[in-house]
Amino acid sequence: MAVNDRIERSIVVEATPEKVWAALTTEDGIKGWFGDIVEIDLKPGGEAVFGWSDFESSSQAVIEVVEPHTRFAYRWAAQDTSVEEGPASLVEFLIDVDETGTRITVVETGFASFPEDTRDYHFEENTKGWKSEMDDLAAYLESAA
Amino acid sequence: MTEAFAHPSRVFAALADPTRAQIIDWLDEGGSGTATEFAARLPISRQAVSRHLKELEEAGLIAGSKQGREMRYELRPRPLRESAEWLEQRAMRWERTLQRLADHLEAEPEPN
Repeated sequence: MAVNDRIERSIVVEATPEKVWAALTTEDGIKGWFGDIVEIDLKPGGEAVFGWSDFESSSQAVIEVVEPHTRFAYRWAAQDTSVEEGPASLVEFLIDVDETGTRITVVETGFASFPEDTRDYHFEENTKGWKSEMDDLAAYLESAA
Repeated sequence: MTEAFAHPSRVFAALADPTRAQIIDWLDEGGSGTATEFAARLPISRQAVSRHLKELEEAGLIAGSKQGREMRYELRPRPLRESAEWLEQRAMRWERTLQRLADHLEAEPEPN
């Protein structure tokens, strides 16, 4: 059986790529739809922290790709670890515009490198997580229109 | 933790959402729960779970206490009881009014 490695989800929103970029990469933007704990040094190699205080959960990340309004990616440590210690996944956001609106795609890969005993747990949590988080992102972008 | 009286409209507004009503039911059955436990059972984001818990807490329906790393929430029955009494009083008042109307109609001689 193939190992679960990749999660992908797309949404289409009525918001400009500039607005989407701000929602994905600025502290205020991220707090509007994702966690309430946000630190971000937006440059390749820059450090970030994303977390939820009510869940006593936060994770370190290291930014990998910063292509304004187009592509944003970071390595994301599993809860309570660091990117250096691992395990970590790669989270990538792609923004493109077509006739239906602005498409935002999130792709998270790298679960195959997780220890076997926690891999499925993380994969399932994040599969469910990205579904609801992207719903919240769409709601955030469209309510703040 | 606030023990102040929450107006019934506040309590009803908090209960009017199916997710929040579900959380109340789980606490009623299971005694207590954490944000992580609720999130695992609900198809919504962590931020959405936080918002619902905050509304329930502000309506006085649940209260959290730190246990280990996370807040553990329990049901506070008082606002539920007070809201039920509020409804009950109004229902009884209407029953009495209707009863008086019925008595009055029975006592009146038939017209013509």
